[in-house]
Amino acid sequence: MLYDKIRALYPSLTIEDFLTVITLQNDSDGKGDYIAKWEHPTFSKPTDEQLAG
Amino acid sequence: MSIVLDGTLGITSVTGSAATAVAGPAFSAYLPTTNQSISSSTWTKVALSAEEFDTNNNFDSTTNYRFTPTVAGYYQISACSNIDANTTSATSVYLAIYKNGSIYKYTRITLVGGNNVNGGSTVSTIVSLNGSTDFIEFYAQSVGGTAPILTFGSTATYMSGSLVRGS
Repeated sequence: MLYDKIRALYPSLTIEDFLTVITLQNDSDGKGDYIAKWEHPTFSKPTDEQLAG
Repeated sequence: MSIVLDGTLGITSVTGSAATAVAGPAFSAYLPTTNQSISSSTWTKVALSAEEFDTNNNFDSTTNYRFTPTVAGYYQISACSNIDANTTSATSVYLAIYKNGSIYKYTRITLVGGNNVNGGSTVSTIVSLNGSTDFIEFYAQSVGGTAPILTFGSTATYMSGSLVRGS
């Protein structure tokens, strides 16, 4: 899951972060989870390579 | 038509033909046949792929599961789900009404106890829609626990709405 991959990259992210500055989304269209919003003040948005690793 | 307005009592009588209700769009769509699990911290669109009614054919229950009314105005929208915690640990489930792809209003319920613990939650609002490009969707996500379940059925997980006032 995308959420688990991101938490593995940035273990210090909190549940609150995912309710405020980060939005993960799945549109039930068969394309899977994606990052709809990333506005975290410290951590940069993960690259596709990081998420695939 | 005649309306008598008293300065103290307000409207005291109405005579003549009755007012006619606005025949604006109204719909009710639901999650049919299969439960839908909700991922952790990931807003997931509720696949409302069946309809009870859709008076103006403005709800897409095939591809995008969204309501895009063709009449501008203010709409009462309600989204509800009966949720099975599906875990022995505490889990919170958020239900959201999305407008144009972003959260417009949400609510949260926390379920504690164990498997087969159920709870219902509803989010309701009045929203202005432009009658052309604006659209409404129903999303849910969980926090904690492991993949709670939205229970299928027209009486369990659904979204409905109707025009309450023109723009």
